[in-house]
Amino acid sequence: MKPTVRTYPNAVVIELEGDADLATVPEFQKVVREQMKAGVKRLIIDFSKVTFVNTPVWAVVVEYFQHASSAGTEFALTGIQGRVDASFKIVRLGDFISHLPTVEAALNAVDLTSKR
Amino acid sequence: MDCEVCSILLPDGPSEDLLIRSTLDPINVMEVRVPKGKGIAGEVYSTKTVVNIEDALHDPRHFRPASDKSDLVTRAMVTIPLLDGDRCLGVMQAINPNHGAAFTTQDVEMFEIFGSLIAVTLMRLESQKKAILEAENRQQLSLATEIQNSFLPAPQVRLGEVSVETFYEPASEVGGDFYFWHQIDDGKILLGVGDVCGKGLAAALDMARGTTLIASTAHLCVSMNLAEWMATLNKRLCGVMKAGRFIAINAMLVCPKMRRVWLCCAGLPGAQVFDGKVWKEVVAPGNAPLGISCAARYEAANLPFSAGRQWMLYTDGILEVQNSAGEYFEDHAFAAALQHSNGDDGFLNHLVEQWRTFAQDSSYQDDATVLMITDHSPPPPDEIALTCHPDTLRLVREFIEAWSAYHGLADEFTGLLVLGCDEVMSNICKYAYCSTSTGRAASCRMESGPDSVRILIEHFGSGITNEDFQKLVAPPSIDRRIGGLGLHVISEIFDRVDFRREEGRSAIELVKSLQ
Repeated sequence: MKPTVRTYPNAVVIELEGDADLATVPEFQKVVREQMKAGVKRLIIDFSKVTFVNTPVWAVVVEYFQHASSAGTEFALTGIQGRVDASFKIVRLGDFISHLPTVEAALNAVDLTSKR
Repeated sequence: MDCEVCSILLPDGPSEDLLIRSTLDPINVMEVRVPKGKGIAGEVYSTKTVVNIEDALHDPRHFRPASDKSDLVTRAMVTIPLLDGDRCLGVMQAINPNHGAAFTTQDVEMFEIFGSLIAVTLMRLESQKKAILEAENRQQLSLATEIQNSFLPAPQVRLGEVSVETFYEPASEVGGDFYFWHQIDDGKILLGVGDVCGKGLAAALDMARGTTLIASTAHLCVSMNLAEWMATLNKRLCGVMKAGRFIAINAMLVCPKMRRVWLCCAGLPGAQVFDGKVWKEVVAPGNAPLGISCAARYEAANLPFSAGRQWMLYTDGILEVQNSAGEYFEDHAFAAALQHSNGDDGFLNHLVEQWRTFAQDSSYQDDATVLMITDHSPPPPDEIALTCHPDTLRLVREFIEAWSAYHGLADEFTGLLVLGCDEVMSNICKYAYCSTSTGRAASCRMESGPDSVRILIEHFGSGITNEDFQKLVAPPSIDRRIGGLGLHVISEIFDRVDFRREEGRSAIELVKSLQ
């Protein structure tokens, strides 16, 4: 899994693809931390092409969520489906982190914090 | 005979009333019958002895049927039996001799000689009738056999990794049994055995109806489950079969892609599966035979195809055959035949040989059909050994995916097994083996039970205990740095988790219920 970063006028989107696991965490973490430093106003992580996610990957997501909460950054996950959704439900991150069906919906949302 | 009237009285129908044919035409028009045992004719017919009387009218045995409206006044009468050995074919009567008041001994002798000629003629007529009937039956049977055979598919076939073999033996030329197999467009295989009630042409026609409807509706199994398909087939059969007729069918739907099997038993004995060690009866709900009520509901068992390498369906003619001692094949011999199997390809021949030997002196034998399915797909390994490293964890996931697919587990269930095991392996990578560890061996073994899946993961790093697990497992929280979440996932997914250390290695046993 190699994360792809796309920049939009009002947001940055990190697209993940394939299996997101312990082997791919360092690369994902690096990309996420770069966005922390860059101080983006709205970050979207898209899981629509992801086939597997484990807790080390969710830990990176939580790390960014904690940063976003203190830095006042808007943050959302998109495209959570199938086995990724099963994993997402078990770790119960949906109770805290905004999640929308598509990147487009996240880009067009007025306020991402209300999409939990 | 030199007399006023001669008559012949022959038994007519199952009541054995004697129907009179006479030289006196009006009697023939009147269809005059003498009830069984009545009158002098009835007595002669039953006693097979001649009666010659001078004054029949005043004989207490005399009986004049009410339907006899003729003007004939019976005076003297001789009645003789028409004999074929001990069997009486009918009687003849001569009434009112023209030459005197009574029939003489010579008259009676003459009449008996004439009667014996008539008896021979009757026997000839009877055997001609019988021959015609037999010829008609043979023609009917031959036609029925032709019909029946044209509706049966090839006795053996290989459909991808699945082979089908059959044994089919009708009790007479035409049986009520049949078998079928159809490969459907999406790769599924619909197969089964059936038994039509009755015999002969009627059974052959019902069998033709049944197999035609099965062939024309098999494609529905692309979108219908087996129980729905059976209900559909039943409704269509109810529409074409006569009242009182029905078909018992045990059908199986095999999906080699999903590695699942559905079994619907409707009026026949169940099915057997060879699990690699022994043959076992498949537990499946019973259903009503087809063609009786269009409101009947059907249920099917849904099983993993990996439950056995061989599956067997059969009709009751296999079990119900009796040997000369009066024992049924199903009493002991069937189980004995199954015991001497190691699941090899020659099993059907072995079973048939045992059945034939058992049934060789049998006085009655029903149609017998067996359909055997063999799964030739190679099973994936049950265990994987690897060097534990983040880059090798996907091998464990792929191993579980392949194992689960072979065992017909649902995708959602497999996803959870993959996730749970990956969490265990990730923890072993991160914590059990420190970054400088050189020996990082680990293994993962899968085991399928009737109600659960058991996974045993072993490694040689520093493992945790069940007590540690209880302390470390943490519910998800967003307020602190995430940790222990992998253990939470493991505890959520599996019904039983056991951490233990045994002889220098650590083992994690995970059990997930299939319910």
